[in-house]
Amino acid sequence: MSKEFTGWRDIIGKRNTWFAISLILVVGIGLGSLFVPPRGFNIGIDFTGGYIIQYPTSRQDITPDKVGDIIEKSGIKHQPVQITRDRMSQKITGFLVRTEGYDKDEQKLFEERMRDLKIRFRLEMTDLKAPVVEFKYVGAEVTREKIEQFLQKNFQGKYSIKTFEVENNPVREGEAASFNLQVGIKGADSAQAFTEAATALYKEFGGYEPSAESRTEEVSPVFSSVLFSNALKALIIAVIGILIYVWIRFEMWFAVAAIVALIHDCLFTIGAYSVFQLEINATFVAVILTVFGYSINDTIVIFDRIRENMRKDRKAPLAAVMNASLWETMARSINTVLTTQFTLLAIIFFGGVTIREFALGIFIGILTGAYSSIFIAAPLAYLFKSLRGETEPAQAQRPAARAKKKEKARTAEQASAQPQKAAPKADGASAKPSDAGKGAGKDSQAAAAAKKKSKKQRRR
Amino acid sequence: MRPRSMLLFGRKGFMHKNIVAQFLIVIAVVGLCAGWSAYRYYSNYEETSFMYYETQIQKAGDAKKSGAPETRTVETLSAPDSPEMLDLAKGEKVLQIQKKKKVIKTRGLPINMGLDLKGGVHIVMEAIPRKGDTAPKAEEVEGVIKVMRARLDPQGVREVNIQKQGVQFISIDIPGEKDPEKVRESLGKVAKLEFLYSGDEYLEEGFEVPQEWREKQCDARARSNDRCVVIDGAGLKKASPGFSSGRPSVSFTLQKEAAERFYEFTRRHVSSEQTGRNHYLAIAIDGRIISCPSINSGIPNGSGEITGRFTREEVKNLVDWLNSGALPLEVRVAEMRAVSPTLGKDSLSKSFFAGLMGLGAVVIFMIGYYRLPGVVASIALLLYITIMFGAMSMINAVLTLPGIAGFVLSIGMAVDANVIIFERIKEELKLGKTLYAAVEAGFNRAFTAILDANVTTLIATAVLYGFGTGPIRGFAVTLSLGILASMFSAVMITRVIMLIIAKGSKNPNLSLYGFGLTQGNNA
Repeated sequence: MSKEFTGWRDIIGKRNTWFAISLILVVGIGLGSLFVPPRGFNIGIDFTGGYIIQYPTSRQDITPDKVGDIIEKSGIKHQPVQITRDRMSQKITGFLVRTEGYDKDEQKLFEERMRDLKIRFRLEMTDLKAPVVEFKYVGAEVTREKIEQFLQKNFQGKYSIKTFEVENNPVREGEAASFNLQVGIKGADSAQAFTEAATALYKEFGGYEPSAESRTEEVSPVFSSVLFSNALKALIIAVIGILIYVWIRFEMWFAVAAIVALIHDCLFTIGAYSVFQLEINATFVAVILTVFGYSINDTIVIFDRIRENMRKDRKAPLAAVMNASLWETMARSINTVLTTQFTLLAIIFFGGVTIREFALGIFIGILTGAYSSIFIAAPLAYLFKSLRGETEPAQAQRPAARAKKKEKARTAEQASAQPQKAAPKADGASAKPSDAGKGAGKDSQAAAAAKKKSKKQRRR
Repeated sequence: MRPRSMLLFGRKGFMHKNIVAQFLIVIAVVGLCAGWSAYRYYSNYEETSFMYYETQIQKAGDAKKSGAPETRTVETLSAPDSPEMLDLAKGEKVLQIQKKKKVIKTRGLPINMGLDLKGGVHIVMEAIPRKGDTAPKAEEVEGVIKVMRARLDPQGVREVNIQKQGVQFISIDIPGEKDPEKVRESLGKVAKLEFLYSGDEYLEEGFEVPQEWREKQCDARARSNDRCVVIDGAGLKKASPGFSSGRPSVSFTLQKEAAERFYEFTRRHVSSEQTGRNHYLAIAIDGRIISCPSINSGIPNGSGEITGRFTREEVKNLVDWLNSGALPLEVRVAEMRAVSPTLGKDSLSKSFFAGLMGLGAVVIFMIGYYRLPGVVASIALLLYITIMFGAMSMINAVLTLPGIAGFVLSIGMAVDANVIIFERIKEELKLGKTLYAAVEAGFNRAFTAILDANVTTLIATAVLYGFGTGPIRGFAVTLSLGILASMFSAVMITRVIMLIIAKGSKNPNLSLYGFGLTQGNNA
C-alpha cells in the first residue's frame, strides 16, 4: 500500500474509462443486437409456451430443411431445426425441434398436430431401416404366436412381416407380466405398410407404441406466464437479499455499488444472450443467479480488503486505499476466475447439448462478473463516496468535508436514484471538486505512506 | 483489527491450539462421507434382464476338416432364422442357436438422480375451474390429486410423486416412465361415466352428448322423448374386465341406492316387440357415447356389463379409470418434460467426463501456480468431492443435470477460498513472518472475506431453491452444499495440512510456497 498508483495502474482514477467501456458494451451491444438481425432475444418455450422435441438418429442424410419440411406439413410453426452431432467424430446423432408458442384457445388443436408430427418423425426421420413397431402388452393373453397368425392372415403376400420378442421385463410386485413385441416389416412402401400393420395390430390386440423421442418438453401458454412471473420474483428477491446483507456487513454506498455491478452483469449477460442467440428459459434464471452469486462473492473479497485497509490506516485517501486493495487482490481475482472458467469450458466442450448453453451463459456472466467487481464495483463505491465528500479521511479536513457534504447531498441523491444512467453524468458535473481532492491527496499520499510504514512496523 | 471469531481463531482459540483434534475432525468427516457413499454404492443397484440369441456359426471350408472347427459367435436380440440377419458368408453354416438370458446390474452414483438423468416424465396439469368459479376450489384439486394417484399407481408400488403447485397446478414426477403420451392420456381423461336414457333414439358410437342432457336427472317415469341421466359414475361400486361373446368388455356393480334406482328405471323402460317401441340406454364416458344397448329387461342387483368395440388395452384403461373415479374437474397439460433413460445416461456420462477434465485443469493450474500449497489444495479438492458425494447421499439430495453443472462449477469455485488464503500467506511471508506464523495469519485474515463472500452466494442459491422447480432446485442444492463443503475444505482441511507441514519443516524452502516466484505487486 506504500506505492503510488499512476497510469494504467490507477484503476480508481481511470474510472470514467471503465464506466464508458461498460456503457458501450451493455447499452451499445446489448440494445443494438435487439434491432440488428438475428432478431432480438431467443426466448424459449418456458416463457412463450410450445414444444421442444429431441430425436436420436444415426441417419447422416438429415438436414434442417428436410426436418423443417416435415414440420410444415403438420401445420406447426417452428424455430430453426438444430442438428445434434458428436463432438469428436462430427457424426449426426439426432435433431432437435422447437416450436413457436400458441394461443391459449389452440391447445387441443396443437396437441393433436403434435401427435401427428411425432408419428411422421418416427417414420421418416428416425432409425427405422425396416420400420419396426414395438408393442408393449400387459397380461399373458397376447403371445407372439397369436400376433404372427394374425399378421399372416391379414398381410400374407402383401408385405413380409417379421415378429420377434425383445425383452422379458422382470415382473415387479403387484404388476401383471408384460412383454414387448417387435414387428419388422419389409415391403415396397414400408412406411405405408408400417402404419397399416400397426393400426391393425392395435385394433386387434391393444398395446401401445413407446415413444421414440429422447426428450420432449412442452409448456402451455398459461403455465409459461406463471414461470415468467416466478423468474422475475426470484431475481428481485435475490437482489434485495444481497443488498441487505452487504449493507449490514459494509456500508450503504458499498452495497449500492455492489448491486449496480450486479445489474451491470445481469444486463451484459442478457445482451450476450441476445448476441449469441442463446435460449432464454427457466435455466436462464439459474444462470443469472449463479452469476450474481459469483460476482457478489468477487466484489466482497475486494470490499473486504478495502474495509481492512481503511481500518489499518484511517488517514490514507480513499483512492489510494482502493487502488492498493484492488491490486493486492488482483492475483486472487484472476486465479479464481481462471479455475472457475476451466471447469465451465470443460462442460461447454464435453458436456451434452442440453447443458452446453447453460454453461456458456454462466461462462459469459462470470467473465463480466469478474470484470465488474474490479472495474465497476470499487470505482463506483469511490464515486458515491466522493460525491458525498467522504474520500478525504484526514481529520483536519473533516469540518470542511462536512460543509461540502450538505451542499452535495442533493446531487448525490439525484445520482443515486438512477445510478446506472446518471453515474457518468453526475461524475462529470462534480469532476472538479473530486479531482481537486485527488490532487491534494497525491501530495499527502506520500506523507501518509511514510507514516503508514512506521505505523505498520510498530504494529507487528 | 481481528475477526469476530476470536473464540475460534484468536490466540487462544480452538483453531490455534488443537491441530491434532482438528486433524481428527477432518478425518472423521471425510471418512464418514466416503463410508456412506461406498455403502450407498454397494447397496443400491438396479437389475435389468433381457433375452438374446447366441448363434454358433461354423466358418467356410472347415466342415470336412478334422479337429476343432473354427467357429464364430453372433449375438442377436431376435431369433436369427434368416441368413441376412446373421450376415453369413458363403459356405458358412449355423451350428447351434441358443436362447440366453443376460442380467445386467447397473450401479449409478451413490446419489439419487433426477428425472433428467434417470429418465422419466415430469408433468404439470392445470385444473380448469368450473364455470362461474375464478379459481378451482382447494378440495376439488385435492380430489383430482387423489384420482390421479389411483390411476398412476393403483397398487401403490411405483415411485410416483404428486404435489399441488400453486392454486390450480398439480405437479407429477414419474421416474423411469418412458411413455409421456400414455401418461398424458391417463391423466387428462376426466372419465365421467354416465348411463343416459335416450328414449327410442339409437345413438352412434362417438356421438357427443349435448350438455343439457347431462344436466338433467331422470325420473323413473321418463317419457320416450326425454333425454336425461339415469345414473352416473358416482353410483359405481366396482368395475372389472370381462368377456362378452368373445370380445373384451367391462363388468360393473353398482352401489345399493344406485342399483335400486337403476332397476326401477330399467324395469319401467323395457323395449317391447309388440309395440315395436325401443328404449335405449346410452353409455357415455366424458360425454361421448361408447355403446348404446336397448333395454331388454329390468336389470336387478345392480350389476351389468358394458360392451362395445373395445380392445383389451382399452378395457384395462377403462376399468382403471372407472375404479379410480372421475376427476372432479377438467384438466389440461400445463407443462410436460420427458427424458428417455438413454439420453439421461448419455448426459450423465458426458458431464461426468466434463467434470473430470475440469478437475484436471484446476489441479494442474493450482500446482503450477502455487507449488506445494497447490498440491495441498488439490488434495483438499479431492476430499471436498468426497464430502460432496457423502453429503448429497446423506441428505438424499437429488442430482440433476444442471446440478452436475453446479457441482463441476463448484470445483472451480471451491479452490477460491484456497486462492484467497494462499495469496494472503504470500503477503505475510513477504512481511518477513515465519512460515508457521504466515500460514496462521493468512488463514485468520482471509476468513472474513471467505465468510461474507459465501453468505451472499448462499442467499442467491436459497432464492433459486425457493422459486425453481425440478432440475433448477437440484442445481441450487448442489451449489449451496458446494459452498458449505468448500468452506470446510479450505478452512479446515487445507489449513490443518498446511499447519502440519509448516510445523514439521524447520528450514522451509520458501520457493515451494511461491515466495519469490512472482514479483509481488507491492513488493
